[in-house]
Amino acid sequence: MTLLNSHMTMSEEVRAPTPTGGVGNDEPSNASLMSECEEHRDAWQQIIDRYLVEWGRNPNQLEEEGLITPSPRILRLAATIAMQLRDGGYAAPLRVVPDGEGGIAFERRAGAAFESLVVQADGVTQFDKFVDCRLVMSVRLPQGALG
Amino acid sequence: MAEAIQPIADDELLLRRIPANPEYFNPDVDPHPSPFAFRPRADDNTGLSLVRMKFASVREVAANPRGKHYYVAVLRAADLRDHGLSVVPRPLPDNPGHSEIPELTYANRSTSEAKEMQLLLAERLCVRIEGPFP
Repeated sequence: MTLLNSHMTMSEEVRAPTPTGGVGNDEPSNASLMSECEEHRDAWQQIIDRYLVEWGRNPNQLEEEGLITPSPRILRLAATIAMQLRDGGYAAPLRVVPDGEGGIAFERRAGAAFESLVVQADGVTQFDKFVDCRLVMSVRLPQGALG
Repeated sequence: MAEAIQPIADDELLLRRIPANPEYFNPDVDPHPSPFAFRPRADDNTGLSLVRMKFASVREVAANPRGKHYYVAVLRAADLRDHGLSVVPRPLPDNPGHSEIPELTYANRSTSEAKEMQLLLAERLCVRIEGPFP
């Protein structure tokens, strides 16, 4: 996850904060943080269960004229990455879709920013960040860097 | 005698089919489709394919023999041109309304510029999205 952390520029408010306890802490604030963490985890789990696991079971759902279906290996890799991001406290994606060339894309919007994390068919992960539809960051993570 | 190709007027609407499953578009999730709905495919050698609405209805564009569900994005030629995208008629024998955005091809699909164009199409240039059909 270190490599991903160093490259993904999700702002602090996007990354679900780790709640802290202790005397004098604002109880309602901690409760809301916990709730937010739970929401992020639940959302990631829905992505994993409803799409990645289900696609692995029924890959024919992904068949589309002119598009290449992700392999079981890539689906497993994408699920592993999703679990890492879930456990790392990152906000869940807006959606997960095949990239049409055997890969899987996680897409998220945060204000004016749009982020795309693509697990490509060769196992390489590509992270792109756009602001107002202009590409501001593009990072290619080698196979094995994640997952 | 070859029929003259009618140029695409600025106020003309163009259509692009978007799969409902996988969910390249789901209005319950987001009002915009995924930019991958506008990614050139292997046969988009000379440009991203669209269909001119004056030649085919939304339902006709969505129709397919497998009964799969599709949405149809509606775009306006003037909007594309205002954002630096050309749209040209490329009629086919079985698709007289076929047209293309020549700036977006399979060969350049992964360039920074192409990614920006795909996101622009998804986020800013859809007039509306109709469906799902059938």
